[in-house]
Amino acid sequence: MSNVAQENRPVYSDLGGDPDLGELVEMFVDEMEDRIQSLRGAFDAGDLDKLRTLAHQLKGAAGSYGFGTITDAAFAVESSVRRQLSTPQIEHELESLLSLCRRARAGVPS
Amino acid sequence: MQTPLSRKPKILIVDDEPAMVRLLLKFIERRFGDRAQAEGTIDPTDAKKRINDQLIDLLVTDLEMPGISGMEILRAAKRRNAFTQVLFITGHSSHESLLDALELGATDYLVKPVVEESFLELIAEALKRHHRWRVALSETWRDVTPVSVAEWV
Repeated sequence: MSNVAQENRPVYSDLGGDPDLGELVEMFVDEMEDRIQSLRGAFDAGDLDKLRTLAHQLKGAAGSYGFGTITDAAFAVESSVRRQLSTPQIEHELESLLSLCRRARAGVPS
Repeated sequence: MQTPLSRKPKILIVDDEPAMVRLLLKFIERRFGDRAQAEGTIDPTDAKKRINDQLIDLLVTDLEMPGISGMEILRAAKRRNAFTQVLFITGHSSHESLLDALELGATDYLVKPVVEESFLELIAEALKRHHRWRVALSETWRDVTPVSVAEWV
């Protein structure tokens, strides 16, 4: 599959098919836009401590909600800040994370 | 009437991430149903207030939260009730922080992301351990006759 196709592909939770947890996953996905704004806002403001904290929170929560790929990408952002990588490198990791967050979906693939 | 041993164990979840609190409460609810009373908070100050106001049997807390360490919540819980079992949930932990947690009486810990089965297994073990303490304590009290109490005063 091409990179472009992968970048447009929806990201589903491993828990999306669980009838008891579906509603919680939906809530988690609904809140994703706020997380995207906060992460982007922290980076744009140069507040890297906040960016690291937000990425750390998302890393723990996303995987627990069955979004393992988002956890991996959030770890990459957190780690890039911790290791004091260059601003373009941090932004690159952040963009990968935000792309996944935008494609997060509740439910199961049709 | 509820005796100390028939009382439902009370569980408090503390995590600065609301989505985590919701999920962990759901996991507990669907495994333990009405056999345990679980509540959660994202605010460490509120957590300390609840710990002081109520008898918490099992505390599940994030180790790393902005402005406060889970260790401080553990200390508050143990000061209030030495029998409170404390489970840490952590995103990552240094060797030192885990040793500190053990030294202060943490029961166990779990690394995020949380897997439901592993989480519930730890909760079940902690509740069993807590129950054993309560039984032992209640038997100790039963042995304290008026005569033995009189010997104390």
